[in-house]
Amino acid sequence: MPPGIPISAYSACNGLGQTTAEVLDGLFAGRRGLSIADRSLGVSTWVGAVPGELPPLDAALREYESRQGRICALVTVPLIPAIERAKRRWGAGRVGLILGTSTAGIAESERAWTYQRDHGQLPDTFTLERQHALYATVEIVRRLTGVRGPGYVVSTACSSSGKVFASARRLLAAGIVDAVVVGGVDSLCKLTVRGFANLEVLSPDPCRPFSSERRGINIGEGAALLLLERPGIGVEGIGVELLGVGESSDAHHMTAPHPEGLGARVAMERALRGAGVAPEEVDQINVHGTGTTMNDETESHAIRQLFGRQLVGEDPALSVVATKGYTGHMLGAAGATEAVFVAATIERKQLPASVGAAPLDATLGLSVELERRSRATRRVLSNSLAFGGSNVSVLLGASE
Amino acid sequence: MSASLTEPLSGSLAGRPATTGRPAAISDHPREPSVELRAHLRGVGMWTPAFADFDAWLAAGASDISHVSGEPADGDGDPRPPAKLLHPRLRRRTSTLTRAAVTALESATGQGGASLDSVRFVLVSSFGEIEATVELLEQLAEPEGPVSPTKFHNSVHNTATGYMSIASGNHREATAIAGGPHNLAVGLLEALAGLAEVGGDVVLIFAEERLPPPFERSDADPTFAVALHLSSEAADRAQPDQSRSLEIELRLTNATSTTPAPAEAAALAPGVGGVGLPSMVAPLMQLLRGAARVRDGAAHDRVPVPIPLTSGDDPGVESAWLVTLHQLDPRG
Repeated sequence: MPPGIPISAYSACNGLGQTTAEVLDGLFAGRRGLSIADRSLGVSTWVGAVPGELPPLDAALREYESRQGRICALVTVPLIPAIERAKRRWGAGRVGLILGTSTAGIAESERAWTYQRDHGQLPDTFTLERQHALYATVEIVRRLTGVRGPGYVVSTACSSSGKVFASARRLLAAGIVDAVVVGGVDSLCKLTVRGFANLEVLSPDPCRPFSSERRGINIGEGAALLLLERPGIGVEGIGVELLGVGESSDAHHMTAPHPEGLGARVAMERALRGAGVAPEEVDQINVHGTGTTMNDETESHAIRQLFGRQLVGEDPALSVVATKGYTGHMLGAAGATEAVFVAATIERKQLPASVGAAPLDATLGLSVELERRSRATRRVLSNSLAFGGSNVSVLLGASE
Repeated sequence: MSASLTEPLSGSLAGRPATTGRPAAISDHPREPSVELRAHLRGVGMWTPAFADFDAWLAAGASDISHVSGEPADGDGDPRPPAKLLHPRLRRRTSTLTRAAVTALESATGQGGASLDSVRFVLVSSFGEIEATVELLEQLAEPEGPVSPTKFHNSVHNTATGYMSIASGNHREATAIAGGPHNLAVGLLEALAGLAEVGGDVVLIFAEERLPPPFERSDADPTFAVALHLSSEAADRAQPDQSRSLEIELRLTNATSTTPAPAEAAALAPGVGGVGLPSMVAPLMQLLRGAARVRDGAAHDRVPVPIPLTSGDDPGVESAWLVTLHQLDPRG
């Protein structure tokens, strides 16, 4: 089995709070980070909005001002000391930067479009490359950290920041970099909220993944960053490693998942095969679990096919946790955020409650964790499934 | 359902020779700062409003396409890319970008000889489905107005790769990325690192749509798609489906020390740090002209053709990545 890639630091912000501590305190306290959507979003629903005023960007980054940029800074600044150590250890040019986003700064483009309709020109504060472009997210984090290795955005809708782990693993394995800052950043905007509303999958209430009373998704925003480093002298990991990543395509439909969860199953199988881990060794799954009827059915089908024997009995060997009830569906930031949740779960030897999942939908055949409890899990899959039939499953594990 | 579609892939190189000699596992030793990745460039696909494919562009002199507009070479009345792979029911809903990318894909794999249901896709674009996105912005400006569900799901950056996988029944890995002024370099890094990981075939597609109002810019790239069929294996030209394959090895190196950047690099447009839009087309056209020279034997003295990948100088990034193209030795 190939050795894992140690995680040496992480950070997160989302509807649960602006800091990693607030986010994880909320997760393990069973506190939801959802609120009624601002009227400007134009839909009666709940969202996971980063709470409070977001601090403005430094003067040097003022040209990148956007909600997306401010969320980037919230997760980047706390990670700077760890990234500085990695730059000294490997050289700044050997540290890569791979970020997932689906929205980038489209909220600014929405305002810019309306402004030009009313004034005949784009606002002075808007440029396509610094506010709208996907790559601006990389430039902001690069300028804050001084990381000088290859950098790019992965944008495959809701699997974006799960797939960054696959790209990072490839660049490390090919010897292109020695460390990679990976993560995901998404910000609330009308495009995603009203877009999903018109697909008729938004829940009017706080979302209830895997519950018999689920009515759809809530959209969330926020970010998560993780620093991955080649195992080596002086690398102090947090005790959690990236063991494998599996990617797949449904080849079925642009928005509807494969009816039997084929792509989700293949992604999980590839993650395990690449890491040399048997299905029986997996003791926890962080499900994609959006709370739509179809996602939860097809994803459950895939999990039952692959892990059937581990799901039965009084105390099943496989713990299933759904966390979108805390944050909403963070789209391009979901994969990295849930990787942070999994890392914290392994570190603390505690499973968070799947908030909102009770009463469980018994037809799904999974015994989802409903209450927080102590359990030391060692091999955890985290799924992200997206438009275009783009699927990824990230395998994290406790360091030996 | 055939077993091969769902067969999990190994992360090791066992049985899947790549042209790099990297170790199968993540080693605990830092690599040498100089990196070289190799792949066989077997096919080139291209679509622009003026040129229906790579050969049409070459036949017209391989000129700069940055400011060329025009009618399609086949002139059948529909100016949009044919994208024959897409069922008409699917095609009707797709954008120019998706159709151009699909058209270039078909052309590249048709030349290189790869099965569309088993190649991996890497799509590189700065602005992706910008026409669909701007149409949504217009709809969103009406507070109570409807938002087209089709436009919404067709606005994601991975729209083209989604349609490609659906149309070809392909369950393999597919990704969609953006690298700003480094689009060529990061696309090649993602694609070649993937070949080193699992071998096989990858189609690397670069595509852009001309920016629609109100975001139109004089420094923006035109509508285009270019697809490169890259493989860990040289083509077997005795096989009928590979008989037209290019016989070129592409080597990607970081040129920090050994290789002086060719003079062409200085001529490329700026676009770093949010100052102007970086051109993806300019360095890409150089890569394609180089491929044509090697293919046509103009480089038969075996001097590799070097192509810089980055437009302008980016102080934020250390390595300048460089591609060299090498004619395969016919003696093997």
